[in-house]
Amino acid sequence: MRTSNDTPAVHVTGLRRSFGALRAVDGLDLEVRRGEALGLLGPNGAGKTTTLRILSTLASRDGGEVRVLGLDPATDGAALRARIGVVPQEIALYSALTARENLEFFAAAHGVPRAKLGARVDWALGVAGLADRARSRVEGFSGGMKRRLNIVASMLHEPELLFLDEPTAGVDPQSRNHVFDFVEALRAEGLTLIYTTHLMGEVERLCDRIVVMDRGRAVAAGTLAELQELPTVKRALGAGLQLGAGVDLERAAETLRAAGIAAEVRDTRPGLEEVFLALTGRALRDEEA
Amino acid sequence: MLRTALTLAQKDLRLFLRDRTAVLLAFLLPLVLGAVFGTAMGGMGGGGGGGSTPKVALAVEDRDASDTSRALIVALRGADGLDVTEVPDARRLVAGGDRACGLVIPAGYGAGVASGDVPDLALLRDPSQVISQQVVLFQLAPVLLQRQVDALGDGMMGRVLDLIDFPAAGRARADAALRDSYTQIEAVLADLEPAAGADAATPSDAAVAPTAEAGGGAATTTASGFNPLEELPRLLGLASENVAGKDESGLAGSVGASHAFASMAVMMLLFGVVSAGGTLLQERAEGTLTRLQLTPAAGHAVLIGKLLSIAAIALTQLVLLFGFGALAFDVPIFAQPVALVVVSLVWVLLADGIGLTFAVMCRSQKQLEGLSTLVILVMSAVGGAWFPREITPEWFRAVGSVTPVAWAMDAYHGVLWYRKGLFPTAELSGVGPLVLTMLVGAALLIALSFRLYRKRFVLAA
Repeated sequence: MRTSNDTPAVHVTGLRRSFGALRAVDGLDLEVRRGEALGLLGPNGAGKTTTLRILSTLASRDGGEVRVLGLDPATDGAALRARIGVVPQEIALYSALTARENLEFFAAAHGVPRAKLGARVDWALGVAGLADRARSRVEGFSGGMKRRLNIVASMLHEPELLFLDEPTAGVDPQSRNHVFDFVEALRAEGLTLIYTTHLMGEVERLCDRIVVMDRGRAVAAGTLAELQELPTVKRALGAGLQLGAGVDLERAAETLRAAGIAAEVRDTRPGLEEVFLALTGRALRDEEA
Repeated sequence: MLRTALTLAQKDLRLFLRDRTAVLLAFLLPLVLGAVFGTAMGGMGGGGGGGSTPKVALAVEDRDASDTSRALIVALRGADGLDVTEVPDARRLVAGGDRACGLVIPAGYGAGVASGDVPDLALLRDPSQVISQQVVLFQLAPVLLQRQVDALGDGMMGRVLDLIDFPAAGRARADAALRDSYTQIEAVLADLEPAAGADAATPSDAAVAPTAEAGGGAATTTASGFNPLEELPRLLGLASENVAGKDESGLAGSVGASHAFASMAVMMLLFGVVSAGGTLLQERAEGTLTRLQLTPAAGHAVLIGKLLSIAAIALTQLVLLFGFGALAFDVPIFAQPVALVVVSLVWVLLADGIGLTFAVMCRSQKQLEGLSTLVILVMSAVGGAWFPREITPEWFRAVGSVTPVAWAMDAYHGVLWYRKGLFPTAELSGVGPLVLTMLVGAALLIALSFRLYRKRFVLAA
């Protein structure tokens, strides 16, 4: 069942999921527009992974309404899985198989027609920068090569919506940059992305909008600029004299100096990491393995 | 340096104790296997007490139907180590492995006893059940001697003297001496009666030691060189005949090879399929299972795929094993080819079910390794893959008979040794009921594994 482009890619209201006494997701509301790149942030145990698993049909929910590409993951699992891609946190590849064998297998498992399969695999190898290593076993690959292969293995069936769960964990800067370029290219093509990570720089660079989750709920949502302006954030970060957005800092400094006021004028807008800590607190959130 | 070494040793011990699988294999497995072997071998030596002494199934066919033959059967029923059933065709039962031994009382037996010219009783044997034959002979001995001694008179003593080619000149004196000796032995036996108990008629480990089994013949010889399986029947007036393990031309097969390859087919296949089933846990740990569950046709397709790959590996294992057995050890794989193929397919299906059930029950590969090693080794021991169940106590055999290993062993043994087909014939019973039992077991285990997979691998997310 295809849905129109007017419907949001993801629409979630009041989502709940508990594991025993633990409320992993506790009334989450979330909306992701088509073609949007959404960064989903939260400390350990915030409920990000459970949310992704529910949205991608891997886990059931206890309550709430969920629509992904207009489909309910609980009842339209097979149809939805054909239209989404999930890049898992771990390297989910068969290390004893070659890069090509892995891609051919996952393409076939996703139902890519035989006539298209070769072309899709070639595309994936090219995008991952592994065309010359297609016949090498994955066990001999570096962490970055595995990561790149891990990502393209989720895209062989041309999904409309891609979930990326910490896709750059443990890779070198070069490979990370390669991944960034790739994700930006996907964004440019209009693919909808939901990206979770602990690395704030990645979200700042790659995402249009950010949702911060804590204790199973969305505690803030918006662009980085919108989050920086949240009263909660400003209160938590303390103040000096704050100028409004859009003020020319150089002119403000000249004006103050001309008035004989010795003042240091600089851009003190908090980075995403400071926003994140302001919203979720500084207490440690250790999560049991 | 010593201090560092001690610290390292302490760390290793702490890690070892945290690894429950390692602890299980190191400490519990030897205890369990020791208990299993001890119990089984206790039955062999008769040391397990009267209750645990294995009873041997003896099929008696009474072709005489006289008062004398009926009295003999009553006396045989009184023997502690025998489970006597009167049957119309003892040969069919022994040839098919349904009874360990058979005794045919010929027509004219009663009249012969009355006239002092007693015809031989026919003892039908299965060479694959050596221990049972010994038990039967030692149980038959006092009964037959007791009942025949008066009637046989010179006849029996004459058999003894014939056996040792005694010169005719001294026959009369020797005969008298033998009769005196027998009377004295009877008196000694009467003195020992209260202490001897049920085990008196059971061969002990020291008295009888198996020496060789080949070409369908079974030889067991005492320390003094006396072979009870060969000599005792003649002394007792028994014409003994091997009736099991022969092909259509009457050639005997090798029970050792048949048993060994059946055992390997059963036990090693189990280890193989459990290991293959463990790839499910490996895939879960490595994340590829999640990827598979994200494909449109996920769900049971994942488990069906495992089932098929495990079956392919297992079938290849069996083809190689039996092919090698046939080429190198004359294992008769073409005696009943259809039955062998069907038994193998059904056993692969059942083993597949066992492997998958183990995989979906365990939380990690380490847990799977520990649990499966324990269960497979114990099940193989009680199910007859390591030693014949005939040597074990009755309760032990009863426990073993409900294990898949016992079903598979009996089915393979039936096909390879007894040359049974799937369906019964005039001469032999079939392995059909065993195949059906395995099929039901496979269906139940596969259904259970699918249910557990859904519960523990899909919905548990």
